[in-house]
Formats: sequence, C-alpha cells, structure tokens
Amino acid sequence: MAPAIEMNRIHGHRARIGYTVAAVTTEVYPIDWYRIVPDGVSLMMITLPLGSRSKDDVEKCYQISIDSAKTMAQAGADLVVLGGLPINISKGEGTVEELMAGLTREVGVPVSSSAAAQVAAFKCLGSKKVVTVHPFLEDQNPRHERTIRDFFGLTPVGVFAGGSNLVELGKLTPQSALDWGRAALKAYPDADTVYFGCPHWTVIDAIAPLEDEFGVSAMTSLQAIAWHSMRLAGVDDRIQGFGRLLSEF
Amino acid sequence: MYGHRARIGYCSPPFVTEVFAYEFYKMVPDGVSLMITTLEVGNQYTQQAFDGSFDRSLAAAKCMGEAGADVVVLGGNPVNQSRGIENLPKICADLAAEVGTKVIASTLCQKEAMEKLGVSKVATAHMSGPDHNDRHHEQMGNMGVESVAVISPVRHPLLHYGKISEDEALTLARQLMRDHPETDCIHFASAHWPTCFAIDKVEQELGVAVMTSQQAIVWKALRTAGIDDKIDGFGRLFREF
Repeated sequence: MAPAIEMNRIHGHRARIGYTVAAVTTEVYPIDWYRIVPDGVSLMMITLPLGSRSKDDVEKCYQISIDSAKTMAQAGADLVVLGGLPINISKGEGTVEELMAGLTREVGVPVSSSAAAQVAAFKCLGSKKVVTVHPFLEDQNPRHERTIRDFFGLTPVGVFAGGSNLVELGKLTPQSALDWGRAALKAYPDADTVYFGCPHWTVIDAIAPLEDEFGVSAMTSLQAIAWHSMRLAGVDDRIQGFGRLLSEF
Repeated sequence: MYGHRARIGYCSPPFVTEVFAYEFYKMVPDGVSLMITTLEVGNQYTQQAFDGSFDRSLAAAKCMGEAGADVVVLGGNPVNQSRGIENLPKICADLAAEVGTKVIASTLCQKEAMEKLGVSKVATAHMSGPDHNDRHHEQMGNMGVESVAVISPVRHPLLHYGKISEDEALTLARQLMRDHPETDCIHFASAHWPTCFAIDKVEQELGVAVMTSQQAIVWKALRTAGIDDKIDGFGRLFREF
C-alpha cells in the first residue's frame, strides 16, 4: 500500500547523497541504505566498471569517480561520497584527504569518501584492535590486514575470509555475516572491534547481535558510509538497530 | 538472502540514478531485490549516449545473469526505441539465450501494460521539455496507441529529476484531463521522476487508467520472475493484472 506522503516534497527532502558504487552492478547497497537512513534521505548512484580489480580497472574507475562527483554536484547532491576503498587509495594512502578537499572546492559541495567514512567511524568507536571479516577467499586476507595496519593505523589482530566471491555476494544471507562474525571473534578474542569490509553483501543485521554478545564494537563499510554521509549532510538522527555507531555518535 | 523471491536486474539509462530505486522498494513485496547498473545518458539525449547505453546494457545483462538475476530489464524507452521497436523481441530473446536468464525491454513492458489496461487514447506527461513532445508522440504511436496529448513543463535536465516534487505528476494529469477529456490513460513517461504516489490519486480522482514507465517496468519484471502478488496502492495495473 502506498504510504501517505506530503505531495509537495521531493524524495530526498532532508538530504540527497551521491555515491559512486565500486561495482558494475549493485544490489545490496541500496537496500541496506534505505533500511538505515530516515525518510527524506535519498541515494543518487553511479555504478563503476570495476571488473577484475586490475590496475587498469582501478585507474579507469578513479577517473570516472572524479567525473561522477562533478555530475552529482550539478544534479543537486548535498554531499558526494566516492566509494570503493581500493579506488580511493589507489593514488597513495596519503592523498585521499587532499583529493577530497580539492574536489570539494572544485564541485562546490562537500566530497568525501568511503575511506574517510571508515576512518571517522573507527575513531568514534575508539577502535584499536580490529578483526576483519570479508566475504571473499583467503587470498584477500593480506590485503585486508595491510589496510587495517597501514591505512587505518590500527592493529590487525586477525582476518576471517567467508570464502565467497563477487558474483555471489547478493546470494549471501544475513546469517552468514553473523556466523562469520562469531567465528572471527571467538578466534580472535582480544579484538575490540569487528570490521566487515565491502558494502555489497548483507551485513547490517549482524551488527547489533555481535555487539551485544561479545561486548565489542561492530563496524561495517556501509554502516560507516551511511553514518558519515548523514552527519556531513546535517542529518543528526540517532538510529537504533544497527550498532553503536549510528545510535551514539 | 534479500532477493529470496526474485532478483530483478535493471539497466538504468541515467548516468546518475536516484528515484528508480527509491520507488522500486516502495512497490515490491518483501523478498524482491533490485540489481542496478547505471548507464550513460546525461542531460542531453544524444544518439551517442543511446548507443553507449545500449552497449553497456548488454554487458551489464551478462553480469546480472552471471550473478543470478531472475530477469534483466533493458531500461530506457528512447534507448530501446533507438534500436527499432520491432527488433526488441528478438534482441531480448537473443540476449536471454546468451546470458542465461530472462530479458525484457522497458518499451515492451509499457506496451503490454497498456494492452492489459485496455486503453487506446493516451495522454503523456513528461519532464524533458516541450521540445521533446514530438518524440513522445512518436514513441506512443510506435507502441500502438493513439497519442492524444503530450505535455511537459519547462525542461528538467534528466540528472535533475530527483529535484521534482511529488505533486508535479498529479498537477500535470489534472491539466491533461481538463484539456483532453477523451483520454482513457495518463502516461507518466520516464522511470526517473517521482510518480508512484500519484498513480492511485489520478485513477481515483480523474477516472482514467494510469501507466507510468516505472510502474510498468516493475510490474512486468515481477510477473516475468513469477511474482504474481496483486499489489495495492499503485494503480489498476498492479492490483488487477
């Protein structure tokens, strides 16, 4: 049934957030986005041709991301967020803030990144020792460990690989994230934070149960991006059900 | 998984897509998910953008098929019609055979929706500016109905459609019916401006059928994926067919 609405408003009447999706096609991201954000916050999307994550793919996506920021600003976004941590840091880990500041000046609206969102989220949560859960094969573990240590400046206490792949992400159930999070926290009990990398698989329903069961913080890429986007766009609502980050900060 | 009943792939022509996903999740029942790829159409409707979008649609359809979509929709009436409406069934069938899942075209979704609704005199409201009225008349004619009127306010650039308020559709429908009372269907063209909340209001207030591009796409995609739920709140099309 169509809900009653005020007809003289636009869908994104509180904030319109532009986001470059680092995937050829996206499925989970908009679902979880609209589960988290309050009514009146809309998502403007551009999908990027990030195929095999080759160097050429990443470079191409980087350039399209820059163009996309300009286009979304022209289209009225209140904030543009560049997605895809590998793309964000492809020019060197020290360049992200400079790039965003330069783009902000150029396009006339605030520009941030998924990387900056996650940096801010870890900081708010007070994270120091992080166990990472990702849905891919174990061969990705070293990359995730490096990112936690070298980019976020935190201690990587462990990495848990779910064993799936990019094509299958939409088929994963919320139970997978919960099971993998539990396994990771049991394997690495000294972690103060469990971090779920990649915003394109179903994770948000695991956040609160893991925080409650293990007394840790749970941070996911998408949760951090949604939180950071809302706060930068002036939407300061405290949101229940998806972890401390959204309910306390 | 989220799409435990059906996973619908949609190749979305606008370079930036906002409204489609928002309204999709207002309409579909729980368990139906949207896989979306944005294409290349910007504020200017050019053949180059249509060609580029069509080519990327084919590549996206393959990705969606591989990822497990139950149906893939080739979006964009102008993009579709640029290939010739008579060629679309074969294009869809060939692509379906290649990608291993069902493929439908938004143009054919709208044509079938009007056939189901039993309408023949269609008045179109769109947002691309009066200089696009002739194109809309032609597109409707190609779909086999009489295009009795086409109306657009001052042009909204495609990538600015998210700024259109939710009452614009209702205002334009009232104007169309006042000026063209012989109309039996109001068509809100383009799946990328807010229309879903106006559908029931227009049908009830003005006594005509309503077919919106977005509604027809979602309806046909659901039915093609085997989801036969009759859905209230978004017009006769969803409620009766």
